[in-house]
Amino acid sequence: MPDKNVLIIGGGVAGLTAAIELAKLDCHVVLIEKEKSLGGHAGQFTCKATDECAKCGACIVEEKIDMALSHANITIYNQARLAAISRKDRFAVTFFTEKDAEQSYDADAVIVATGFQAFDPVDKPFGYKRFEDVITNLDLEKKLRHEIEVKRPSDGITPEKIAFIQCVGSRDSSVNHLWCSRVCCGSALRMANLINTRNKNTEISFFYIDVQTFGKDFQFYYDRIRDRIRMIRAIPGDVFRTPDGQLKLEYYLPSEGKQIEELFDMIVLSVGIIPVGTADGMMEKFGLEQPKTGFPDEEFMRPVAGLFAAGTSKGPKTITEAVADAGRVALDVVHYLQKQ
Amino acid sequence: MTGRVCIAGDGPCAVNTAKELLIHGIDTVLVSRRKIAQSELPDNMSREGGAGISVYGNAEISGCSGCVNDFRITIHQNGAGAITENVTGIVIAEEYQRKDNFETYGLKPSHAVTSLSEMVRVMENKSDQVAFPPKGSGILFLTGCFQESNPVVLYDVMNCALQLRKEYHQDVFILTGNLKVAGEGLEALYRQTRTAGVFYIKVNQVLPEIEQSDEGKVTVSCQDEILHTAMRLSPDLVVVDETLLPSEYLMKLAKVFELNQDKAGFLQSDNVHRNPVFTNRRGVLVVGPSRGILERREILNDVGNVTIAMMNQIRGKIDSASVGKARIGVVECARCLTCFRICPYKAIRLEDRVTVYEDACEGCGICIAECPREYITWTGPGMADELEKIQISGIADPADRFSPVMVAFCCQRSAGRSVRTAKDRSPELPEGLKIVEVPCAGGISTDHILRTFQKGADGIILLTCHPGNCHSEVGNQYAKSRADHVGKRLSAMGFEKERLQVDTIAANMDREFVRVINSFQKKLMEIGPSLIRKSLKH
Ligand code: SF4
Ligand code: SF4
Ligand code: SF4
Ligand code: SF4
Repeated sequence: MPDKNVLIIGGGVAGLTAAIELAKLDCHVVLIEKEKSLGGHAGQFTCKATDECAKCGACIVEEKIDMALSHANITIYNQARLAAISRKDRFAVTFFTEKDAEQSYDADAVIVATGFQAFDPVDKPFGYKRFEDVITNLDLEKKLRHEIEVKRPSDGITPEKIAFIQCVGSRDSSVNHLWCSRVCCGSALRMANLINTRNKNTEISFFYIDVQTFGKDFQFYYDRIRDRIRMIRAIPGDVFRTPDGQLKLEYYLPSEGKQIEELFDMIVLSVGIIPVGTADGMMEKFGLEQPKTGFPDEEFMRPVAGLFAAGTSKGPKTITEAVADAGRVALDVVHYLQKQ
Repeated sequence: MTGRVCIAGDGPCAVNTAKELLIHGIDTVLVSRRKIAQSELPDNMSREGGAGISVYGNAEISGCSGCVNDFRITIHQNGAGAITENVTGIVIAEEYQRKDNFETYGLKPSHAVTSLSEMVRVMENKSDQVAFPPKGSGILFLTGCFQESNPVVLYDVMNCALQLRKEYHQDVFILTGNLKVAGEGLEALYRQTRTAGVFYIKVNQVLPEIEQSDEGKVTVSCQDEILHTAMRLSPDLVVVDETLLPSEYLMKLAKVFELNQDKAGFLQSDNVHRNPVFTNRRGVLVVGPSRGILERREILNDVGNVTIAMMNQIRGKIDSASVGKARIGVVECARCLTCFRICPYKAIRLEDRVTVYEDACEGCGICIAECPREYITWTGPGMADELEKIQISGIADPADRFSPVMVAFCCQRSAGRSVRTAKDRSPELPEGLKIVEVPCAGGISTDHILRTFQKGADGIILLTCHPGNCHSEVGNQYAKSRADHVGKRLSAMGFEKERLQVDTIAANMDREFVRVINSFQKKLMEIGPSLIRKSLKH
């Protein structure tokens, strides 16, 4: 595909993978990323290996960044914003670069790889933003990347009891999120196991509705670690703070048939994957309305020839799934370009 | 070069792969264990300037020799003898095997107990007079209670339940452990079934008691965990879920092609460093149901990835961590076959003499480090050149203190990457640190380690991938066992074996890299300078 230009919006693992695959097939790729660094959410995740790799896929992001940066057919703009986009035979694109310089680019195809947004749990009764020691799974990913032993944010003490609350903002009709975010059970269980391996005295309670086990060997991993985690099938009610700085959680314990109050040092909310919205108003520019499920999938993009979506912008995916999806999309783009 | 790819498989996944490859100008040979009907194949099987899709029905692959770009496949077709085909690549696209879980639930099939596949079939062929009992005690699905299920099975369960409810007005119960709603659209489907009146009972801690009478009728006593109510059901019909397994033939193909398997037996290990459709052998790819339990969309993605990979392969564009490859000396080889046994990529060829398939060699260096006669060398730049670059003798300690010279051998795919980010982010890496990046830690030989000590290093640290995270599968284990071995030799020579350390690290853990290096430095400070370095100074 020489002499074809592709614009990729988003430098997360899907955008990077699509860029690499297209570049290998001789396309010229311009990738714009709104943040300072590449890698998206997954680029900030921690390794969860204990005595063995936990197959979370986070380390793959570094490989993709390396490959994209070193490929001659890929030009990357960090801290770039899309300014305008329109389509006649090709796409006329303008974007602002880091130094607010305006740049224009003619693209034969555009891939939206804007990733996901994390559900903001501030309106849930779990005390997020009110209590420092209530954090999200994404906060914990970043924390664990830097700290060997996890510390409580408020006072830097090693927590003895941590509660994970699953499905926050996923599978939740009250916010009209009628999907499972697919990755949070795996990510939380892996981090729980990592914390417990590094410090046996930290007890982990896992509040869940259903455990989702994903990936090739994850079932075996789960079987191996589940005894070390207190699995409680309940979604707790409100979180309060006790005068001495602990967090009080109320939940209904089905096996005892009664309401329980329990104290924890730290609470981790597994927040849902939700759509980023309309990628800088781009969808509206093409007259596309909000997609039904919230995630702009292939079906949704179809009316605009040459417009594609890759990765978690289309719905929740693990890191490896996002890579596989982006590879597929790269092929679809090549196929489209061949027909041009 | 034009591509000609052999596809093993007899279902939609194999046919779709053939179609997609055809679109992109790659010829295929489809080897199917059953006879594929013309209606299942694409209308147009040919392409301009090529052979298109050819099909062997009622056939099995029984052998494979050669390597990427030049495989020779032996096919056994019913009635005919063995046929040999030359192909450039191989795609394994077998479907799952579905095994009913009657035994898991202690049931036997009867008029009141049936399998999920049977129910799916009934729902698909509505013309088959379906005679469900008049509204009675209902239909019960058993899924994921004694063993975990998956989204593929759950989709079938919920889909059938919804139809039974809506079209046949049956009372439908689903007794389940963890409901695997993580599949695309499944949470929405779950809500739809509930609105339609399908009743869910969730168990996990207390498992249900299931009994079957001599006439085959089933009674279930259980405790719903969410509602905390005891229940007793005597359904008219019980539908039992299934396990998706790799077929026996798939297991056989794993042997024929010498492929790694995951814990459930599906092809290719759970190796995050490889694209999901790649295996340990170059040119042998695996898609969809042959590599794990995947949903429809994921299978489609795989087919796309296989196509891209084959296009790249034909254009000679294969990613490789190493520029160098292994080469075996012509005369000296003792034919001990160590290299043949251990090459994780099956790139050693055994004919009248032992040679390396250059196209298949990933340049991990494991064979080079393990050959007892040291008869395997690198083509292109190798480790020896990297070692030459390490300059230690000229390094002087600061006047007031000892500053150890450390050499870190880093696997390019893991520690090597973390070093690069560490350098960007934490300039405070120790001054005496020398980094040597290697394609795979398994390629660091005893000789490399000893020579580096001879050059005057105060300490050597081998940084490998975590177990289970090695692109070469076992490179990290080789590094570890070699270090143990060298450590013993060092001790015997009166040299502190603590100067040699092995650690595991992932590509994204730059902070951990800094931490590991700093603690190694501290340890070396305690031990003091190496005798060799001291003697070199004088
Ligand atoms: S896959 Fe995850 S757990 Fe395994 S080495 Fe990479 S980052 Fe660590
Ligand atoms: S993956 Fe687990 S935590 Fe996440 S939404 Fe699904 S069930 Fe809830
Ligand atoms: S390991 Fe060395 S000596 Fe043994 S067969 Fe291979 S090349 Fe020959
Ligand atoms: S260098 Fe590695 S891939 Fe190449 S032949 Fe030796 S062991 Fe096999």
